[in-house]
Amino acid sequence: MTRMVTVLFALLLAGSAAAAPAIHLQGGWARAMPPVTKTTAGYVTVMNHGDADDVLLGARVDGIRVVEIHEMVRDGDMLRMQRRESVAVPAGGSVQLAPGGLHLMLIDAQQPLAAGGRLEGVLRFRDAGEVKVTLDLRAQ
Amino acid sequence: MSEPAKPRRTLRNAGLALLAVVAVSITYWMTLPPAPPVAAGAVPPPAAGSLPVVSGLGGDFSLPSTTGTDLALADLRGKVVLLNFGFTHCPDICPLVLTRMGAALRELEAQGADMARVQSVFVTFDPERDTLDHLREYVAYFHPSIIGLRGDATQTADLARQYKVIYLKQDAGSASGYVFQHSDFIYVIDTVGRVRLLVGSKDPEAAIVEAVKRLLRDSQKDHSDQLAAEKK
Repeated sequence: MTRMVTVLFALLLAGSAAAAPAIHLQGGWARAMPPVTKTTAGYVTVMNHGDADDVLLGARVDGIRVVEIHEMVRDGDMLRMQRRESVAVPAGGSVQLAPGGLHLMLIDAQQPLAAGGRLEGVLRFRDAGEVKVTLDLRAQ
Repeated sequence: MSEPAKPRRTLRNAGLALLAVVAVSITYWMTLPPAPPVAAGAVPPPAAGSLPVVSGLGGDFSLPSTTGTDLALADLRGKVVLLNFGFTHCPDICPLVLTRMGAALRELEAQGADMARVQSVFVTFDPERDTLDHLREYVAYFHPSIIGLRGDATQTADLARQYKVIYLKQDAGSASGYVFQHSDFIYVIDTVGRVRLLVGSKDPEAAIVEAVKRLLRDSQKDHSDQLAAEKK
């Protein structure tokens, strides 16, 4: 009986330890824009150090009315913007949100997007839940 | 017996150490960047040879501009023109291209290029949302010398056709409203109004700098070529 409880307990422990995504965000930034422009793009590298896949589902950024995930897709000489509902972040892998590819589209900024500023928010993941993100506003 | 062996071992160790130092030095020397071809402080000259004329696109135009009056390409004769198309609600590619354009202009300034003979022009294909006032503030942010052009729908479509710019209004299902899918070239135009190079958004900023320098250098030859062509 004691042995059975021990085994069960060990299994439970193993179960909770396994299959956990561990999301780390690195190098978050957003492109600074002139005061007339209320829309910009945010970029960040999403790393999953865990041993289970996770999925980026969305984001929320303070002072930005709407945040969407978009991807620039190249068709020959043509660039097309595509809205993404989710982005898979494989276990042990990483996904780069970077210029010319995936980005957070920050729509209707209620605050200046001047260089040197900083935006705070969260990225929402299917399993890891909300992970804090900081986007430094840079003119680049 | 072991006593005399010591100095020999020391000598051998010293030899190995020397070898290691030499090896490291060679490796270091091999990783050094090549020496600049010109004396420090001098402006690097543009590459030899001239850029071919890009045929089948380009030509004159005249559109309302952020300067307050219409701007025609013919008004910019004698200047190297960097022409680019986009829209100010564009979050990713347009500001990226304009940022590179601004950086290239600053690099040319730093290299001592004659900036009175260089003009950057940004044309919006979103006259519906981009007023001239809006456009003026937007382009100035990337470089104070950039001029914005805003035609009506027909003028914009005509100019795009002339330069083979592709743009398509697209509903991306975004809260930002419609966007455009579009091509993203910077057209490098010589001092007599001919397109000489298309720079893509993946090309290095140095490609713009180099092209402008070559066209500034070749402006006299281009001018006489053009005169000869007009006489024919």
